[in-house]
Amino acid sequence: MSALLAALWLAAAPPPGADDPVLQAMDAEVKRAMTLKMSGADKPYYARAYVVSEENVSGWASFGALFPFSGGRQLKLATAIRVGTPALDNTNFQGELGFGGLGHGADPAEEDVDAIRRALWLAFDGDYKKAVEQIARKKAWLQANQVKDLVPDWGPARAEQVVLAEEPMPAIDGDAWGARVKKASMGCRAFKSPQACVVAFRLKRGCQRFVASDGARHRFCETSFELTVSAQGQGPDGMPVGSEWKQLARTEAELPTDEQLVNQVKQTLTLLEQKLAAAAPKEDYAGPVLFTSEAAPAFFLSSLAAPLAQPREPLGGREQGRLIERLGKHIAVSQLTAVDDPTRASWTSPSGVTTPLFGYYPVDDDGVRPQPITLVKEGVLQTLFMSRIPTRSVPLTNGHARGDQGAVGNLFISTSQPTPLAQLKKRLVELAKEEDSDFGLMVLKLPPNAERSTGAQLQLPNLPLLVYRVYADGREELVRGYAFKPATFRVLKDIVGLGDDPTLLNTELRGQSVSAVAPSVLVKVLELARPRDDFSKPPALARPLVPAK
Amino acid sequence: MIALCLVSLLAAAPVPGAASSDVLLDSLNAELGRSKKGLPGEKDAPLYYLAYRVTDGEVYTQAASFGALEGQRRSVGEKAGRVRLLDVSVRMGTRELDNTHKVRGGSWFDFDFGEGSHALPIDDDPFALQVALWKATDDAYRAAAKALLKVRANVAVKAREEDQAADFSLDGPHQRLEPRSKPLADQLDREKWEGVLKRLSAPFKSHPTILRSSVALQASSTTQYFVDSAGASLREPRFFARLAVNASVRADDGMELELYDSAEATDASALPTEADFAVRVQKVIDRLEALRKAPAVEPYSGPAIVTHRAAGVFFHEIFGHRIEGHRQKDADEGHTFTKRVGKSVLPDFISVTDDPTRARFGDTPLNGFYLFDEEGQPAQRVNLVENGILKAFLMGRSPIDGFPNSNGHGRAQPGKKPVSRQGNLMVSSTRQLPFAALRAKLIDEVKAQGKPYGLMFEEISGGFTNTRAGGTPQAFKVIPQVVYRVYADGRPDELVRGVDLVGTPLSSFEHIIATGDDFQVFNGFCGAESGWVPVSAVAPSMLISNIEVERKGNTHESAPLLPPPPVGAGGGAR
Repeated sequence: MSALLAALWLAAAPPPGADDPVLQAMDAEVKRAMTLKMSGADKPYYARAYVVSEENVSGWASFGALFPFSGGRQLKLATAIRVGTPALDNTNFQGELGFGGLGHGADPAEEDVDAIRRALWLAFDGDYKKAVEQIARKKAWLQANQVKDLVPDWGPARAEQVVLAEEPMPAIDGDAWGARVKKASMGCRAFKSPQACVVAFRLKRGCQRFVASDGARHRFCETSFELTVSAQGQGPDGMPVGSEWKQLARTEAELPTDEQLVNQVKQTLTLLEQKLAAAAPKEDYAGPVLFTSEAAPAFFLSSLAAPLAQPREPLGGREQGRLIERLGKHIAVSQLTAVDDPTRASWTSPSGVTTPLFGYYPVDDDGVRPQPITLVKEGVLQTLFMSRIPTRSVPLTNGHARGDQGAVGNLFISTSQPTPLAQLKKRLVELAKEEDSDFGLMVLKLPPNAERSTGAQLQLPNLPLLVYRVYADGREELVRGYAFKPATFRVLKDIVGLGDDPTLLNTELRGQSVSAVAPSVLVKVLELARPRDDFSKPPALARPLVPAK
Repeated sequence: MIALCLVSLLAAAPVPGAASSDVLLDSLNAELGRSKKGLPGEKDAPLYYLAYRVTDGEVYTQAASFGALEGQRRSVGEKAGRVRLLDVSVRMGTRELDNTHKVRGGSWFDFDFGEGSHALPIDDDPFALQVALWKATDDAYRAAAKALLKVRANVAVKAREEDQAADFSLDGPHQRLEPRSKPLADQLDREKWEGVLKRLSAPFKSHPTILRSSVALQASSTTQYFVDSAGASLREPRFFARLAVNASVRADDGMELELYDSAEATDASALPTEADFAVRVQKVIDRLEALRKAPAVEPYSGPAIVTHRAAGVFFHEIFGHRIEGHRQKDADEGHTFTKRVGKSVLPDFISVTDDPTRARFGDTPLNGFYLFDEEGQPAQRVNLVENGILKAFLMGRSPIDGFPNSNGHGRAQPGKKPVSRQGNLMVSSTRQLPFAALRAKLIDEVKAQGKPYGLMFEEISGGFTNTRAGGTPQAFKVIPQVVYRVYADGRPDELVRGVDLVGTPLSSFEHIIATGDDFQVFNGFCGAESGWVPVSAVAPSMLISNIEVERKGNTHESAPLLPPPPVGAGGGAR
């Protein structure tokens, strides 16, 4: 009897977020979407909707003066419908239709329930009509082509209900931020060489709501602050040279003080001047490369995380030799282990500094709670970044749906043989000697976005931002203009040493916030090209002079 | 060339009375002077002209749909919506042949779309402004040097051009410093307008067949600056606001039908009241509902009346674009009117002017009003056609044979290079009839041609016209929104849908047989090579003895499968 009462009570208990009118509106339209039907056409078996409420403000200043701000409040809506069955539905097919149905026009700017329901109604209508056409095309393709062991299109998952508190919007005082960056950008004036010099801020707060027809629903909010300092100049040979610094934070308290920001401008511009004065290489380089500081996590995002993302290839796709095909095999040196753990919200460095991890999320974009995964254990590829879209080798999700497919969250690289940086540098020079070079290359900074690697080919971020030549006598010489040539995934097996100095990088990878923590890494051979020699002439007229006070 | 340089240098002496507390203007002049002195040009290609054009002010756009704000609700604040955009014009070579000369036979990639605007700091900080000006000038200088090489090579290898006019006119510099524009916030209460837009867009909620609708307010209050190396120094405030409604409905056969209405104002207080515009919104709703049920028209050829505003658009598209000066020297253009100066191009009872100096027509503000064009030349009234005879073209500073000077029609949006464009195109007639008489004449014409009905075009949303030579015909298509069949047997007029008006320009003009006396204004924005510019067209209704229509294309999308969600259950923004 008491069990029955409990069951009744449970049945009557409102779902989390029942008091949220936006979630209610989404619930209602997802339910209606599941009733969509057309004569003789496949029916929906799964529908989901996202509503992201976003508020942002950004602005920048240069040489002590502000430029126009941008920002405001808006909603971003997205919907998806699957028709047919999880074994064979309208998705994962290369000939997917880009646009169909009526569309719903511009998204509402505010959380107006009527407007949201109307937009979702039209969006689902378009999705359904497109899905029906799509599954027909897919079935026709399957009739004409032989496919061995068709992989299901949609995997099972527990319907999670993760409705977190709606965080109040932190008070964003755009004018105060404008004053800060303006003041800091005054520092640009003290340097003669920058042609452009920008101090910028961006403040963003977003709340993502998600409702799916299988009962999954979530709501969580995120706030991010971003400060950047960037400067560009032109070398005497015409080569464009840049210097940039960026910091992401979850709270204002984590950001530098006004004084620290002013110092950061000074450091960024000092580095620019050093880079401008540095030599440009005359010859290509083939030899060992040491990635240290922020370049180490950036290296692993490019060489490991990006190639393992989006593991499911659409039906009819023909990209061969991808790293994902090496499951259960050595893909890296055996001292290397890689874990991805999106459940961790912060990381404490060996020196005791705690920093937020931007690859954290409480629930993924399929509505699944993320799981920590050991991606690579002692060099062997163990699993893949999985969303609910199964692959031939890994059928179940591990909560890594980011956008449309599986991708990295917080990547942690560790080694069983940590080596001090000084020893890695020494080894770098030794290896260089074996390649008949007087110096080895040490990279401290890579551009934030990974280049697209295809098949078995790996493309590291093309132009490393900060590179030193390291000589046998310990001398380190700044050099500018090297560019990575294409490599292969063999590079992970060519690692000859990993450091004892884990560094965190918060950045973006294909539109998603991600984090990576990795120690310095020494690769036996990589090839870099010297810069081209046909740059534009420096300006015909010198930059205006700073007025005397 | 030497003479011109001397003229430029002499003229570049400080403008009397220009000294002011306008930091932006002072900075423009300071960097202009420095660049002129320090940028001699490339070897045997002197820099002979440099101009800065700045659009400084505020813009605001907000839309609402079905009772809620849509798109982005922009931050309210002094620095949100601020713009300060710079366009740099560099001319290298000689006035006869410079870097702006059209490269003939080039690919699509050779087309010069302009470099886009450069953002300037919104703080009045002379040093920061000068650094931004310096960088933008350097970019434009390099681009000009590169372009001139291409131009010279192209001229050397191609046959002699038919039009031998120079690349740049000898028009002198002008100085006029009007007060700066007022801040937008002083003229427009944004929060109040958000409420108005939401309320105006709400009535669509009770019309489930109307799938998309939007009521939007667009406003800008800017100061236009222009300085050049010849000594021009101009400052002109401009205010523009538009309240617009647009909505679409889908007929049972899948044809999408759209209606649009707008009210323009050159002063915020001249925008319509909420109550007045609500009536116009309701009219759009009623017309859409009627259009949805209206029969689709079949291809037709016969007599028609194009009513005033629609006739204005008709003239703008079919006539106006063909008398833009730069098209007459472009070898790729169709040159419909190039050799027709002094000859008949329209019926002898029709005259056409373009008059950007005119701010209003009756009580209606004219969109195409301005004091100076984007090349620093004063707007001028131009008599284009007098009693059917072509007299002139719309001219910017790109001369053509027989028309060596600008008449103040060099226009562009920020980021684009100016070319000759229309301002306020005004059609007049000496054969005016009251509308009832014009309608009776239509029925006579229908009967004379043995047709069951004629057509009446009430609204035309816009259209496109091919002015280019080559494989495609010199045809136009305009998109009527409201069209009636006018029956010869006295039946009531019948609303029809799905009509596109097509034809070729010269034959269409030949068939105009009379006009009404009911002049009205069409205000809109026109898009062409130099971007979107505000324009007006004023015309009376016109009776055309033969017009051709074709059936509008259809996407064949079906109506939504489910009924719309219930309204008002938990409505309202949070």
